Amino acid sequence: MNRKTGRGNRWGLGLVGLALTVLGGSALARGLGAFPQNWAAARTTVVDGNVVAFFARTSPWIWWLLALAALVVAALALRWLLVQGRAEPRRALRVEAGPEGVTDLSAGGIDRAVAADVESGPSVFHAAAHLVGTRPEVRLRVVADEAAPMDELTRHLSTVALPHVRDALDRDRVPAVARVSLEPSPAPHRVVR
Amino acid sequence: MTTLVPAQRPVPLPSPERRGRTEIADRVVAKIACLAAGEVPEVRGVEPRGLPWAPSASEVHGGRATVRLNVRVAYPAPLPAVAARLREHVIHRLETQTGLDVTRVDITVTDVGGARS
Repeated sequence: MNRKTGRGNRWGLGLVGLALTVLGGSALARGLGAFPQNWAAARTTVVDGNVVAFFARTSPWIWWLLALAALVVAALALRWLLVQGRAEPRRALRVEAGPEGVTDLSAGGIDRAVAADVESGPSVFHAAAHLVGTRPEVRLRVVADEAAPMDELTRHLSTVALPHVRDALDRDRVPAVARVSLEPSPAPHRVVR
Repeated sequence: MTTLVPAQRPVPLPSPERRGRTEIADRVVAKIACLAAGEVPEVRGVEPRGLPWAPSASEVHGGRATVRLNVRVAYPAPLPAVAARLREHVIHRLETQTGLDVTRVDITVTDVGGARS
Protein backbone atom coordinates (compact mmCIF):
# COMPACT_ATOMS: atom_id res chain seq x y z
CA MET A 1 0.00 0.00 0.00
CA ASN A 2 1.45 3.37 -0.88
CA ARG A 3 0.81 6.83 0.45
CA LYS A 4 -1.87 7.63 -2.13
CA THR A 5 -3.77 4.45 -1.31
CA GLY A 6 -3.59 5.26 2.39
CA ARG A 7 -5.10 8.69 1.77
CA GLY A 8 -7.83 7.14 -0.40
CA ASN A 9 -8.60 4.62 2.33
CA ARG A 10 -9.00 7.38 4.90
CA TRP A 11 -11.38 9.25 2.62
CA GLY A 12 -13.33 6.09 1.74
CA LEU A 13 -13.66 4.95 5.33
CA GLY A 14 -14.64 8.48 6.39
CA LEU A 15 -17.37 8.70 3.75
CA VAL A 16 -18.74 5.22 4.49
CA GLY A 17 -18.73 6.02 8.19
CA LEU A 18 -20.52 9.31 7.56
CA ALA A 19 -23.19 7.59 5.40
CA LEU A 20 -23.77 4.88 8.02
CA THR A 21 -23.93 7.44 10.82
CA VAL A 22 -26.53 9.51 8.92
CA LEU A 23 -28.64 6.42 8.12
CA GLY A 24 -28.43 5.02 11.66
CA GLY A 25 -29.14 8.43 13.16
CA SER A 26 -32.25 8.93 11.02
CA ALA A 27 -33.55 5.45 11.89
CA LEU A 28 -33.08 6.28 15.56
CA ALA A 29 -34.72 9.70 15.11
CA ARG A 30 -37.67 8.09 13.36
CA GLY A 31 -38.09 5.57 16.20
CA LEU A 32 -38.01 8.37 18.74
CA GLY A 33 -40.67 10.27 16.79
CA ALA A 34 -38.47 13.19 15.72
CA PHE A 35 -39.91 13.29 12.18
CA PRO A 36 -43.39 14.69 11.36
CA GLN A 37 -45.83 11.94 12.35
CA ASN A 38 -47.97 12.22 9.21
CA TRP A 39 -44.84 11.59 7.07
CA ALA A 40 -42.85 9.01 9.08
CA ALA A 41 -44.75 7.83 12.13
CA ALA A 42 -42.68 6.36 14.95
CA ARG A 43 -44.81 3.29 15.54
CA THR A 44 -44.98 1.91 11.98
CA THR A 45 -42.61 -0.35 9.99
CA VAL A 46 -39.93 1.36 7.92
CA VAL A 47 -41.56 0.20 4.67
CA ASP A 48 -44.93 1.75 5.46
CA GLY A 49 -47.73 2.97 3.20
CA ASN A 50 -45.83 6.09 2.16
CA VAL A 51 -42.84 4.09 0.91
CA VAL A 52 -45.02 1.58 -0.95
CA ALA A 53 -46.93 4.47 -2.52
CA PHE A 54 -43.66 6.14 -3.57
CA PHE A 55 -42.42 3.02 -5.38
CA ALA A 56 -45.83 2.40 -6.94
CA ARG A 57 -45.88 5.98 -8.25
CA THR A 58 -42.33 5.93 -9.68
CA SER A 59 -42.31 2.36 -11.04
CA PRO A 60 -40.86 1.13 -13.35
CA TRP A 61 -38.09 3.65 -14.00
CA ILE A 62 -37.11 3.80 -10.30
CA TRP A 63 -35.89 0.18 -10.56
CA TRP A 64 -33.64 1.02 -13.47
CA LEU A 65 -32.28 3.96 -11.52
CA LEU A 66 -31.63 1.76 -8.48
CA ALA A 67 -29.90 -0.86 -10.63
CA LEU A 68 -27.66 1.82 -12.12
CA ALA A 69 -26.80 3.18 -8.68
CA ALA A 70 -25.98 -0.35 -7.47
CA LEU A 71 -23.66 -0.84 -10.46
CA VAL A 72 -21.86 2.43 -9.74
CA VAL A 73 -21.42 1.46 -6.08
CA ALA A 74 -20.14 -1.99 -7.09
CA ALA A 75 -17.64 -0.46 -9.54
CA LEU A 76 -16.37 1.97 -6.91
CA ALA A 77 -16.04 -0.83 -4.36
CA LEU A 78 -14.16 -3.01 -6.83
CA ARG A 79 -11.78 -0.18 -7.65
CA TRP A 80 -11.22 0.46 -3.96
CA LEU A 81 -10.35 -3.21 -3.53
CA LEU A 82 -7.96 -3.26 -6.50
CA VAL A 83 -5.96 -0.18 -5.49
CA GLN A 84 -4.97 -1.91 -2.25
CA GLY A 85 -2.36 -3.83 -4.21
CA ARG A 86 -0.77 -0.66 -5.55
CA ALA A 87 2.85 -0.55 -4.44
CA GLU A 88 5.12 2.38 -3.79
CA PRO A 89 6.91 3.03 -7.10
CA ARG A 90 10.46 1.69 -7.00
CA ARG A 91 12.70 4.64 -6.62
CA ALA A 92 15.75 4.65 -8.81
CA LEU A 93 18.05 7.42 -9.84
CA ARG A 94 19.41 7.49 -13.37
CA VAL A 95 23.10 8.16 -12.91
CA GLU A 96 23.94 8.20 -16.60
CA ALA A 97 22.49 7.14 -19.92
CA GLY A 98 24.65 6.60 -22.96
CA PRO A 99 24.63 4.56 -26.15
CA GLU A 100 26.50 1.78 -24.35
CA GLY A 101 23.85 1.37 -21.67
CA VAL A 102 22.29 3.08 -18.69
CA THR A 103 23.39 3.17 -15.07
CA ASP A 104 20.69 3.28 -12.40
CA LEU A 105 21.05 3.61 -8.68
CA SER A 106 18.36 2.15 -6.44
CA ALA A 107 17.65 4.75 -3.83
CA GLY A 108 17.27 2.22 -0.99
CA GLY A 109 20.92 1.20 -1.09
CA ILE A 110 22.37 4.68 -0.92
CA ASP A 111 19.77 5.71 1.69
CA ARG A 112 21.08 3.00 3.99
CA ALA A 113 24.72 3.88 3.34
CA VAL A 114 24.18 7.59 4.07
CA ALA A 115 22.21 6.78 7.22
CA ALA A 116 24.98 4.47 8.44
CA ASP A 117 27.53 7.22 7.69
CA VAL A 118 25.58 9.78 9.73
CA GLU A 119 25.09 7.31 12.57
CA SER A 120 28.84 6.87 12.82
CA GLY A 121 29.04 10.51 13.94
CA PRO A 122 29.52 11.64 17.52
CA SER A 123 26.48 11.45 19.81
CA VAL A 124 24.09 10.35 17.07
CA PHE A 125 21.57 7.79 18.34
CA HIS A 126 19.73 7.18 15.13
CA ALA A 127 19.66 8.50 11.58
CA ALA A 128 17.53 7.98 8.48
CA ALA A 129 18.32 9.31 5.02
CA HIS A 130 16.34 9.68 1.82
CA LEU A 131 17.67 10.66 -1.55
CA VAL A 132 14.90 12.44 -3.43
CA GLY A 133 14.45 13.94 -6.87
CA THR A 134 16.28 13.52 -10.14
CA ARG A 135 18.76 16.22 -9.16
CA PRO A 136 19.26 14.40 -5.94
CA GLU A 137 18.73 16.04 -2.60
CA VAL A 138 19.41 14.41 0.72
CA ARG A 139 16.81 14.52 3.48
CA LEU A 140 18.15 13.50 6.85
CA ARG A 141 16.39 12.76 10.09
CA VAL A 142 18.82 12.62 12.94
CA VAL A 143 18.22 11.79 16.59
CA ALA A 144 21.14 13.09 18.62
CA ASP A 145 22.18 13.46 22.24
CA GLU A 146 20.87 16.71 23.69
CA ALA A 147 23.95 17.08 25.89
CA ALA A 148 26.39 16.97 22.97
CA PRO A 149 27.56 20.18 21.28
CA MET A 150 25.67 20.85 18.11
CA ASP A 151 28.67 21.98 16.09
CA GLU A 152 30.21 18.52 16.44
CA LEU A 153 27.24 17.06 14.66
CA THR A 154 27.16 19.71 11.92
CA ARG A 155 30.90 19.30 11.44
CA HIS A 156 30.49 15.57 11.05
CA LEU A 157 27.71 16.08 8.51
CA SER A 158 29.58 18.69 6.48
CA THR A 159 33.00 17.06 6.56
CA VAL A 160 32.18 13.35 6.39
CA ALA A 161 28.65 12.31 5.54
CA LEU A 162 27.76 14.87 2.87
CA PRO A 163 31.15 14.86 1.06
CA HIS A 164 30.72 11.09 0.80
CA VAL A 165 27.37 11.56 -0.93
CA ARG A 166 28.90 14.09 -3.31
CA ASP A 167 31.78 11.72 -4.05
CA ALA A 168 29.48 8.77 -4.65
CA LEU A 169 27.18 10.69 -6.98
CA ASP A 170 30.13 12.57 -8.51
CA ARG A 171 28.34 15.90 -8.18
CA ASP A 172 29.75 19.17 -6.96
CA ARG A 173 26.58 20.12 -5.18
CA VAL A 174 24.05 17.92 -3.42
CA PRO A 175 21.63 19.99 -1.32
CA ALA A 176 20.79 18.50 2.05
CA VAL A 177 18.19 19.17 4.70
CA ALA A 178 18.72 17.68 8.14
CA ARG A 179 16.02 17.54 10.79
CA VAL A 180 17.67 16.97 14.11
CA SER A 181 15.75 16.00 17.22
CA LEU A 182 17.54 16.04 20.52
CA GLU A 183 16.94 13.43 23.16
CA PRO A 184 18.39 12.83 26.57
CA SER A 185 21.04 10.15 26.55
CA PRO A 186 19.81 6.86 27.95
CA ALA A 187 20.58 6.53 31.65
CA PRO A 188 23.71 4.48 32.26
CA HIS A 189 22.97 1.03 33.55
CA ARG A 190 23.66 0.75 37.19
CA VAL A 191 25.09 -2.56 38.21
CA VAL A 192 24.47 -3.65 41.79
CA ARG A 193 26.95 -6.11 43.12
CA MET B 1 21.98 -59.21 -63.40
CA THR B 2 24.28 -56.74 -61.85
CA THR B 3 25.82 -53.63 -63.26
CA LEU B 4 28.72 -51.81 -61.91
CA VAL B 5 28.27 -48.15 -61.14
CA PRO B 6 31.31 -45.97 -61.14
CA ALA B 7 32.50 -45.10 -57.65
CA GLN B 8 31.28 -41.74 -56.43
CA ARG B 9 33.91 -39.13 -56.30
CA PRO B 10 34.15 -37.76 -52.73
CA VAL B 11 32.89 -34.19 -52.37
CA PRO B 12 35.74 -31.99 -51.22
CA LEU B 13 35.15 -30.88 -47.59
CA PRO B 14 35.14 -27.21 -46.73
CA SER B 15 38.09 -25.90 -44.82
CA PRO B 16 38.06 -27.01 -41.16
CA GLU B 17 37.10 -23.62 -39.68
CA ARG B 18 33.94 -23.58 -41.79
CA ARG B 19 32.64 -26.98 -40.70
CA GLY B 20 29.93 -26.05 -38.20
CA ARG B 21 28.67 -23.09 -36.31
CA THR B 22 29.51 -21.90 -32.82
CA GLU B 23 26.75 -20.47 -30.68
CA ILE B 24 27.26 -19.01 -27.28
CA ALA B 25 24.30 -19.25 -24.93
CA ASP B 26 22.85 -16.20 -23.18
CA ARG B 27 23.67 -17.86 -19.88
CA VAL B 28 27.34 -18.11 -20.73
CA VAL B 29 27.54 -14.47 -21.72
CA ALA B 30 25.81 -13.52 -18.46
CA LYS B 31 28.24 -15.62 -16.46
CA ILE B 32 31.33 -14.19 -18.11
CA ALA B 33 29.94 -10.68 -17.61
CA CYS B 34 29.36 -11.35 -13.89
CA LEU B 35 32.87 -12.72 -13.44
CA ALA B 36 34.37 -9.77 -15.29
CA ALA B 37 32.33 -7.29 -13.24
CA GLY B 38 33.58 -8.89 -10.03
CA GLU B 39 37.15 -8.12 -11.09
CA VAL B 40 36.59 -4.36 -10.82
CA PRO B 41 38.08 -3.41 -7.43
CA GLU B 42 35.19 -1.22 -6.21
CA VAL B 43 32.55 -3.82 -7.01
CA ARG B 44 31.42 -5.65 -3.88
CA GLY B 45 28.95 -8.04 -5.43
CA VAL B 46 27.34 -8.85 -8.76
CA GLU B 47 24.23 -10.65 -9.81
CA PRO B 48 22.66 -11.07 -13.24
CA ARG B 49 19.42 -9.17 -13.70
CA GLY B 50 16.65 -10.69 -15.76
CA LEU B 51 13.52 -8.93 -16.92
CA PRO B 52 9.99 -10.28 -16.51
CA TRP B 53 9.84 -11.14 -20.20
CA ALA B 54 13.52 -12.12 -20.54
CA PRO B 55 14.73 -14.07 -17.53
CA SER B 56 18.35 -14.17 -18.64
CA ALA B 57 20.63 -11.25 -17.85
CA SER B 58 21.97 -11.31 -21.36
CA GLU B 59 20.66 -11.65 -24.88
CA VAL B 60 22.63 -12.71 -27.90
CA HIS B 61 21.34 -12.02 -31.39
CA GLY B 62 23.50 -12.65 -34.41
CA GLY B 63 26.90 -11.88 -32.97
CA ARG B 64 25.66 -9.04 -30.78
CA ALA B 65 25.04 -9.21 -27.08
CA THR B 66 23.37 -7.04 -24.46
CA VAL B 67 23.96 -7.47 -20.75
CA ARG B 68 22.12 -6.32 -17.62
CA LEU B 69 23.78 -6.47 -14.22
CA ASN B 70 22.88 -5.66 -10.63
CA VAL B 71 25.93 -4.61 -8.66
CA ARG B 72 26.86 -3.54 -5.18
CA VAL B 73 29.57 -0.90 -5.12
CA ALA B 74 31.88 0.28 -2.35
CA TYR B 75 30.86 3.48 -0.57
CA PRO B 76 31.81 6.28 -1.18
CA ALA B 77 33.35 5.34 -4.53
CA PRO B 78 32.29 7.65 -7.41
CA LEU B 79 29.48 5.66 -8.98
CA PRO B 80 29.55 7.11 -12.52
CA ALA B 81 33.29 6.44 -12.78
CA VAL B 82 32.96 2.93 -11.36
CA ALA B 83 30.08 2.19 -13.73
CA ALA B 84 32.08 3.42 -16.71
CA ARG B 85 35.08 1.28 -15.74
CA LEU B 86 32.83 -1.70 -15.11
CA ARG B 87 31.15 -1.33 -18.49
CA GLU B 88 34.44 -1.02 -20.28
CA HIS B 89 35.89 -4.07 -18.53
CA VAL B 90 32.83 -6.24 -19.17
CA ILE B 91 32.74 -5.27 -22.84
CA HIS B 92 36.46 -5.92 -23.27
CA ARG B 93 36.31 -9.27 -21.49
CA LEU B 94 33.28 -10.48 -23.43
CA GLU B 95 34.74 -9.41 -26.75
CA THR B 96 38.05 -11.17 -26.17
CA GLN B 97 36.47 -14.29 -24.71
CA THR B 98 33.48 -14.79 -26.99
CA GLY B 99 34.13 -12.61 -30.01
CA LEU B 100 30.64 -11.11 -29.64
CA ASP B 101 30.01 -7.40 -30.11
CA VAL B 102 28.57 -6.08 -26.88
CA THR B 103 26.16 -3.31 -27.80
CA ARG B 104 24.83 -2.48 -24.34
CA VAL B 105 25.65 -3.03 -20.69
CA ASP B 106 22.90 -1.76 -18.36
CA ILE B 107 23.99 -1.44 -14.76
CA THR B 108 21.81 -1.03 -11.70
CA VAL B 109 23.59 -0.21 -8.48
CA THR B 110 21.26 -1.93 -6.05
CA ASP B 111 23.30 -1.32 -2.94
CA VAL B 112 26.42 0.47 -1.81
CA GLY B 113 28.96 -0.28 0.86
CA GLY B 114 29.58 -3.55 2.63
CA ALA B 115 32.43 -6.00 2.62
CA ARG B 116 33.69 -7.76 -0.47
CA SER B 117 31.82 -10.99 -1.09
